Amino acid sequence: MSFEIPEGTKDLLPVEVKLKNEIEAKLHKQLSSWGYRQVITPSYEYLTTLAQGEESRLDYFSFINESGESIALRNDFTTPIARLANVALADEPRPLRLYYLGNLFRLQRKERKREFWQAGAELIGDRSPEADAEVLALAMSSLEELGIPGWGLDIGHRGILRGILNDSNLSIKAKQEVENLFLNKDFAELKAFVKREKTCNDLLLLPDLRGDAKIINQAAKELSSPSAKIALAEIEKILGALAPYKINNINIDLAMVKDLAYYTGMFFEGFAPGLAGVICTGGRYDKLLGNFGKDEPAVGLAIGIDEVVEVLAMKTSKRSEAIPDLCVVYSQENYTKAINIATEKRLKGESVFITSDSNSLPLAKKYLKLN
Amino acid sequence: MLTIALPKGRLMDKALELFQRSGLVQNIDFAESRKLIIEDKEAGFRYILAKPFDVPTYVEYGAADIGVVGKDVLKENARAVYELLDLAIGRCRMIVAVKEGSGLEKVQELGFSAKVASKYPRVTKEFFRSHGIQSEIIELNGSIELAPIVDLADAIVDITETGRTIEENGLKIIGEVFPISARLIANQASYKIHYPELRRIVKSLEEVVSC
Repeated sequence: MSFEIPEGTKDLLPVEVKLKNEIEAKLHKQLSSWGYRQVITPSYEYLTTLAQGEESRLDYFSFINESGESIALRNDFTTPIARLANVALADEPRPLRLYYLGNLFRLQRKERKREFWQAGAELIGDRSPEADAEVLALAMSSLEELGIPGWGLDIGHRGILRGILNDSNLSIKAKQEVENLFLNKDFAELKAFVKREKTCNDLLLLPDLRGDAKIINQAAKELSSPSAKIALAEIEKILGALAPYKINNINIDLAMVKDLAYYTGMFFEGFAPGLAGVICTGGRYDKLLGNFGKDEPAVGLAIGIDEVVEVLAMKTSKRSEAIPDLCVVYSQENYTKAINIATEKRLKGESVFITSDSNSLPLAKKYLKLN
Repeated sequence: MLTIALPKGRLMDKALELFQRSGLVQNIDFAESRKLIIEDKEAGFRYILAKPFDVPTYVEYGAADIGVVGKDVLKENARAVYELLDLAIGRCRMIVAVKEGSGLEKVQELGFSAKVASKYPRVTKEFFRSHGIQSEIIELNGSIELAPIVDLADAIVDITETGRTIEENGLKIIGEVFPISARLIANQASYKIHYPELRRIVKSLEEVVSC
């Protein structure tokens, strides 16, 4: 018999837990210092609740409970928090600032962890560009606080590509196809598509529209879609609100598309050298809360803790685990005395363990070597 | 420095010719074929010479920033990479072929279940599933044409340029899966980090690509 762990899971050993704990401590500090309060939602919910947020990614671990109801492990935090904001916290004054930190489960992440960790913040009940700017600034200052080397952040807007497509005469199926091409940045196929459909020259301009704030003016001149121009004006307002935060590593990427269906406005992706996926992501979702009752605007961010661990583990070659400060070795007749000493030291904040002299040698050796 | 993964073999020569015409490569000698890494310090490029099937893997994990690879390999590997440009070289087709004289004219006629030999199991499975045919895939690594002749399989899914090898082996084409050409691919993070340089490469190649 073999005792392996299932595909997509991971045991975390003391060295890894230490790094993860340090990262989480920084995130708790960072998110609460911006006035966000932590909430903890259940690890599993009714499938119908989670499905309120998910149109395009039906990716759950689900099961049936004793009453025959479909239950699923949470695969996202934003949707449960939208539920919470509209039920338990419905009467709290707005805007509501909430944050979370916990594990998520997605069944179909091939070759990746199916149980993974995320921290994030949601700003609910504020439609202003200043709210978008706050979430962007919070995301970027979190990457800075965590010490991610060489991080960058791209800002996009759902209204750019959506706008161009809505102003076009393409069928719904063709629009979906184009969104998928942009999701995979498959510009080879995009070129063939535009040639075939003889439509939408705007689509071919998007891949080159990435850069600093100047790209907005260039896009306003080059793009012909009126709806896309409305989105451009919105990005410009957000950048204006972001200016006092004095953060630099920003790019505007007008070709950005996200695979979560609930985004309605600005969205963003943070990245780091050496990391295949994104390190943080988020955006505005003004329609999601309406699914749980009252329609409310909202904007949020999520930071991938596993990704942060990966990047920081790459940076530090020598990793240390948490080692107790003191080991009290006792012989049988001094047992009580050893406990008294240990208790006294613990009260002073030291980490102490006790061990009988027959056990002490290998343990002491292990820690001496590590030290 | 930018790392570029190239597929060893015929496609590499065509890719290099394209790179030369676009001015991206000048005085580099790729003829010393035993080398796996070739540096072009002047241009700031480092070339990795890899097996075609491994190019998307190098790029996905960031061991290479960009790469050149056929659409057949891209579809079969399904790696998370960006496809920046159709290089319009290495053109061929992924086709379905059966034994001449089998009486079959169309893919649908293979019936409810079919044994299919291929070097491309994922592509094959998807293609037959989309036609409502349950296929049993027999994975082979070369000389796929042999499989129907020795009754190992009912059909094959393979790439062909002119169809001549297929015909010479007593087979006939009954369906096309998709057309193939080489693509310029990029690592997702590299695309953002080296964006201006990558767009410049795309632009220079675009000018010499014959569509």
